Amino acid sequence: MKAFGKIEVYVGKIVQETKYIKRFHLYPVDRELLPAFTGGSHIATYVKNGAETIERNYSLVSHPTDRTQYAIAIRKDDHSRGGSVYWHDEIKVGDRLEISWPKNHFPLAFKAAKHHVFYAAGIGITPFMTMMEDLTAEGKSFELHYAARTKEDCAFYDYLMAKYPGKCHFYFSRTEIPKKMTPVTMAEHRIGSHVYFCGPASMVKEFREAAESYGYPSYAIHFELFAVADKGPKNPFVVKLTNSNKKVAVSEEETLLEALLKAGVQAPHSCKVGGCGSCEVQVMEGEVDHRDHFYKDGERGSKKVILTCCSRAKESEKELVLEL
Amino acid sequence: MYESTNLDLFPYPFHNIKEGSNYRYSNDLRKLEKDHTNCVVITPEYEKQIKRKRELLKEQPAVRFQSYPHTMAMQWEVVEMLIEMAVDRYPEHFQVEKNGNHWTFHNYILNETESFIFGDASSIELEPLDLIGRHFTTDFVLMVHRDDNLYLEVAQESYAALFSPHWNKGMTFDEIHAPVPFVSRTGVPLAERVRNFLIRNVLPGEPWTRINWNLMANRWDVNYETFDTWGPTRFLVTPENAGDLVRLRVEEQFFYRMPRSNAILFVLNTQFLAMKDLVLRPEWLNQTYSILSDIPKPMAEYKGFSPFIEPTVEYLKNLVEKIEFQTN
Ligand code: HEM
Ligand code: FES
Repeated sequence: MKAFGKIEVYVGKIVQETKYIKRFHLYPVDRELLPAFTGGSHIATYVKNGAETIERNYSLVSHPTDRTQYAIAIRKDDHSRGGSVYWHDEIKVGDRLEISWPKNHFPLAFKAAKHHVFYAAGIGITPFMTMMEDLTAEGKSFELHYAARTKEDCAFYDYLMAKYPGKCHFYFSRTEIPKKMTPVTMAEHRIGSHVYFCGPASMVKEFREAAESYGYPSYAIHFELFAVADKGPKNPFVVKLTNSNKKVAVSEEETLLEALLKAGVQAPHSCKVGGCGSCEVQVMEGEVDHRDHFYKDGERGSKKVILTCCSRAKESEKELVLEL
Repeated sequence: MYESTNLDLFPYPFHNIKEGSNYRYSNDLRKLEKDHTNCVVITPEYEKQIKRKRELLKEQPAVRFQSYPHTMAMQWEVVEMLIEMAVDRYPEHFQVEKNGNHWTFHNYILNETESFIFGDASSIELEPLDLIGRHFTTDFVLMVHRDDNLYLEVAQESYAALFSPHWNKGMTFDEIHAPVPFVSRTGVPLAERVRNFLIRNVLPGEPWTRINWNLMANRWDVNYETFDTWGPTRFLVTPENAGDLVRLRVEEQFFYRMPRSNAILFVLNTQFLAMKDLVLRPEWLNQTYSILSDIPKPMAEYKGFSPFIEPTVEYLKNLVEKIEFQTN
């Protein structure tokens, strides 16, 4: 744990968790202890593929205080940008890669959280694995609702059954008696419950809207998404930067953040999918087409800000002026 | 008490201000570069500073160190990190032996040894951060991230200005900054913005830094508890004695996100430079003169130097003119 910055690890073990999900165990090359982390944390992985570096974020699924190794679980997704396919098809035991320190943009709630309820769809189970470990250690109350196609497709099924008896509710959609996970169970959770969603964008959207309609206060609704919500075409535009006195053109091919970094501007960022708020920049002039899922609806109008990793200038705007 | 003698180690506060520009509050956090993430610094004043720090901790234990009982694991995590930073940067001064959980930490500058069972608070007499903090000249504060805010839950402070663990314990980031006229150049309130930035961008493995500064008249240590003794000395400054009496007081601040507790460790390195020593770096002298000539009134009032800012600027003006005269 000597230096800050990236950590060099090697793949020590690969486990076929389900037909489409593999679990990778990562060990530190320098044999020092890894940083412990908090439930809900993820790491960025940097895999070298020739000249290209494939950077992807994955939630940790190993125990938060196990400092000898980290584990991540990856679902092979043939429709994705190729990160998961590379991990599944190319990564072998013994391969080396770099990872970031564990970061957490999806922490457990603290204040007035009397009961925690997790809703996971498919590989969305991963951040909850470590949250449940932390809650168990602290003796706190929680339950899990977890949807998968079948028992065989349900990662960590046996582990969860054995470890958290009575706390897990499974929903298998492709079985003889299919069971669907729907938001209605949220109507029954006791006052003071916090709800957490992780899964595909459509699932998260459905559960968020339902939670609001049931009267959950916004501070009790938590969610994590793995990808940028796709909201319309990418138009080209220009940004003028007041602090660095630069003008940067953003093409249809790239995000504002990518253009800024390419131009040598030290633009802050972390998740790159519009979920953490790290890339927020103040807007001095111009209208923003907000494409994040970070701000609450009311905030977008009242704050003059843009999340550079996903949002763009409104179609009608040619130029934004940013405090950067 | 002590003044910086090695100017290469002095954190001059206005490096990042463009020439000719003035000083206003802003979100001036910067990410530390890869090879400059270590907050442990040994200056020529190390022993003097440690001696004074320990005296202050002994004289006013409750004012200088505060914590909650639930913070023990958080404190041990900081102990481990500080020891690693010390040993990594100064292996000739610091060493650690680990025998399972039995750790022995050697400080060869002071010829001291600390032995303890890591993670077991009953194996030491002080609390973990209070113990390890006494080997470093910096102040330490743990701001724990809970929901949307940061809460001060542990602090050991001897030098940082207007700071008191006793007074600030349990406060949020916003409550702590309530006395500060914390608005930007364009009048935008900054506390919430800066707090959000800390929460979202100060992440494990990616420490950040900024520099705070003030002016002190004939006094080293300023907190609210001792205002009655240092308050009046501020009226003794004249353009003639400002060079000796007034010091630039700089706090180089480091922000580390602790991976397990999710708290932000806030480290303050306080250093002093007498006004008269600014001549050693003429570019510092010129810029400091220009910046001090244009400080908004609410900021000067808040920082507490309005009683002596005028004679100080007058002193610097005379010094700048003298140097220009000599070089022409
Ligand atoms: C998270 C850790 C931090 C802690 C514990 C902290 C604590 C404090 C305290 C105790 C004071 C004195 C308040 C008083 O007068 O009673 C202060 C002042 C101040 N803080 Fe912070 N602070 C933190 C981070 C920051 C950051 C990140 C910024 C800026 C971007 C900042 C900007 C300021 C400013 C501008 C002042 C006024 C100081 C002056 O002008 O002399 N602080 N802070
Ligand atoms: S980097 Fe996380 S929201 Fe943009």
